[in-house]
Amino acid sequence: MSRRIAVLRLIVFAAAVALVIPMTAVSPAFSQAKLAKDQTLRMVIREPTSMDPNLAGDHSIWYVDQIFEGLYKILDDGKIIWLGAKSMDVSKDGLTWTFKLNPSAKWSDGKPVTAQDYEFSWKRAIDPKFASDVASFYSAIKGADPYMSGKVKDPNTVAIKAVDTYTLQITMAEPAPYFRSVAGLTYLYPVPKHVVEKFGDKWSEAANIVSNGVFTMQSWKHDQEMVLVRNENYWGKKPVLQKVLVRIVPATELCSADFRAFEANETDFAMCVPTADIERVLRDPNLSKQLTSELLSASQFLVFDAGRAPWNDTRVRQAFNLAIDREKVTQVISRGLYKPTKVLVAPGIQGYDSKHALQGGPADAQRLMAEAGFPGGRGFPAFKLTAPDVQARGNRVLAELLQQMWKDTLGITAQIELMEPKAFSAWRSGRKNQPFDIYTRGGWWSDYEDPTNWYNIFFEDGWLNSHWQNDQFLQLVRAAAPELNRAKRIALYDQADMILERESPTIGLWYFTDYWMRKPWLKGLQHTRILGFFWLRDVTILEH
Amino acid sequence: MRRYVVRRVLALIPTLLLIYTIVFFLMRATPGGPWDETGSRPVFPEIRENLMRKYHLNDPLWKQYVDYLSGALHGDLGPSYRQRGRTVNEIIADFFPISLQLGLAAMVVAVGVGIPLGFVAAIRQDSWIDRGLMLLAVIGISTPSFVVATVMIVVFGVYLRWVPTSGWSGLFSRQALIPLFALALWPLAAVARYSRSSMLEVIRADYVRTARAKGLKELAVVARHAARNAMIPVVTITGVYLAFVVTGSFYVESVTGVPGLGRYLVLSISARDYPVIMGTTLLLAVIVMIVNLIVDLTYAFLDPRIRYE
Repeated sequence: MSRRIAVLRLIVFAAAVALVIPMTAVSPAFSQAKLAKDQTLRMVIREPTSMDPNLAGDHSIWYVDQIFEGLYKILDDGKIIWLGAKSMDVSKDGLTWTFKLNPSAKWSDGKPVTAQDYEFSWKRAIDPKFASDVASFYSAIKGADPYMSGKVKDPNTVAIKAVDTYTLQITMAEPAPYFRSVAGLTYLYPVPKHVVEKFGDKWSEAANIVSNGVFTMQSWKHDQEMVLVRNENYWGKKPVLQKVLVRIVPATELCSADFRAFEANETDFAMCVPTADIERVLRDPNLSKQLTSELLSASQFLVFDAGRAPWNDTRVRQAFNLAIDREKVTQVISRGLYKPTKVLVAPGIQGYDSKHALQGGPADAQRLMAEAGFPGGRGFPAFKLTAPDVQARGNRVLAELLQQMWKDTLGITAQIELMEPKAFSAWRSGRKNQPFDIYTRGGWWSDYEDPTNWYNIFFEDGWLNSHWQNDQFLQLVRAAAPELNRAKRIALYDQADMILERESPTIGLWYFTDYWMRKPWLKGLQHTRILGFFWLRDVTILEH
Repeated sequence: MRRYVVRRVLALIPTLLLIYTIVFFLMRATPGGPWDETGSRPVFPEIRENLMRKYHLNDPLWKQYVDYLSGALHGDLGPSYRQRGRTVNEIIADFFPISLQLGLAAMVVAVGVGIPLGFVAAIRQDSWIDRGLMLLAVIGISTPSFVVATVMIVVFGVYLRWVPTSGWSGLFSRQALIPLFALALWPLAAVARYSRSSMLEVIRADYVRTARAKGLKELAVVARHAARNAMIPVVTITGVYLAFVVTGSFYVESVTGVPGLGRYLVLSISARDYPVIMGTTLLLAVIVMIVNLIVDLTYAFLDPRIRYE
């Protein structure tokens, strides 16, 4: 009997593992099931730092996105879903962008959403006195940078203009094709001018807030609970869901509180599984069916100080790259739920091509080290691997794994240096002109799906502080960013990516995934790979 | 007596000023500032500059020191950097009452249960009741509150589903039981142990023998004569725990999802939210000092030999 059970367990486990990868295959039996009477979705989040779209720059955007909407939304297939706008017209020179707004769009108090609201909101977001960190998303617009930095005081110099009630026109400082991916982001959602002017800072509290999305905020008890209800004034198709009941838990306990609440049937949806519980979930015949790992446009990587020895030798960087066993790393850190990658940028970003990855294995790594003058690691200087001490991201374990792999393959031992997150951040910003060896910051999430969000920010703006100077690469990404011809732009980024991967100033390790748990009665919940938004408007709750 | 109280209250001023000064400079000396990114997008230099200007962080340090102090003296503890649009006063008004309620309730339980248990153990010294109770007390003292809370949540929340796994809906709800118990356990065990040892000392004193010799019943001896004198060390230890518990336990509040001040203070430290750190620290300091004063005054009430001039 025990043998039969063992076999059965094995089958169940295998089935469970197989079920983790495919995600939203709705079986016909379910799609015909009846809707529940109570269309309430229950979930757990952490306290938003702000529900004002002009301020929300962190996880708050997920909740802002439920009650507000912008000009349009781009889902994972790349198609535009028109919301606040009906059309977008870009002039031939790529400088003037005209948005025709949707005249039926209304605020939840019944007032129309106008181009004046957009103009007011966008100028508010970049107002230096308002000092919002989402202002960086507007920097392509003509006049935005000087106004933002306080050099020019007059907001009318910023080329954002309400031409008439339903026409919004902006002019770019230079062609910025990436703005297509930016214009639909939460940072550019409108705020209701009449409400903001009336209530000031307090407009986004539950008592005052007016929004334009499919849901509105009914109540918000800070750090306790938020209730969203269907916006009966919404212009388009209203969601089936009537209510979203959100429990707010402390950030430090988010993952475990979220998962425990899901297990106890207090919520229908969880956005996290603690690493320690993944194994158990995968083995459990029921829980494993409710788990999906959803790919994000986000990767984890290492950065070298390529400006000094020994890291300025490409062969050394390549050797470090080839010595890493990514399958093993992701297995340990995420029980295989993250997706290993040998390249830096994520799929969906122009320039990405997994074939650009450096080819070779540990033997090649050893050969490269010997060629660089460090056979068997002899003579290699002492060096540090620095990382922020963020337990949830597994940085400590990652550092120890890498230390072991480099020791085994290359014969050298990294010294691990973990820092408190804020201290790490200050340290990292200080590396602009300061030397270091290798660091990992704990990943990068695409803010929008465009190569400028990776190549140009990392290396042209020099935000990585990698001190890597490759003129050919820089020329390519500089030329590609404003390129209006799509095919040409892709080709330029493709060449740049090839150089980047060959030179290895950075080492890609894995793509992050969101571990989502959905109750079987929860249908129609979509994930976006950009920042893991959850799209609640199509959600339905089946009878259960 | 009144002069003593006035003197003690006046002594709060230099102490608070000292705490203010230490915290102010410690915060500034800690690496990393409020706008160093943590795991999310970089903050543009121009925007950081705007933020620094908005919150007067570019002012000379002495000016920031004086400005915040003068604001605080006028009852304005400043804005929160992390929660835009919220002030420290609002945050304290929202969260402190919850920590206070929960903490007071936990202390009532700790004292109400701990003292009788300690006394019973003392009277029945070396019996199995004594041994059993003290074993429990040792377990209570040595188990960290967040372990107690986590285990209770998993057992009563996830498996038995008697209580929600986290959240807060007032002190008189089932949900409050887990944080209440987790908070009360430690002081309860400590109070029980102190009550026992102090009762053991008193019960051998001459006046207790006299009371017995008068032919009083055991209960009357303990309750009327011994207990009052045995209370002094217990009051001391209760005071220590009271200050600790009403200001909110970060661990218990985090694990059980109670929106209290303790958890907020720790979050604000990791966010370098200077005004929130300062505001809450000053509040906690005042509470600790007031509790200490109350404890000292209680001594005089318990033991007529103690007088404050």
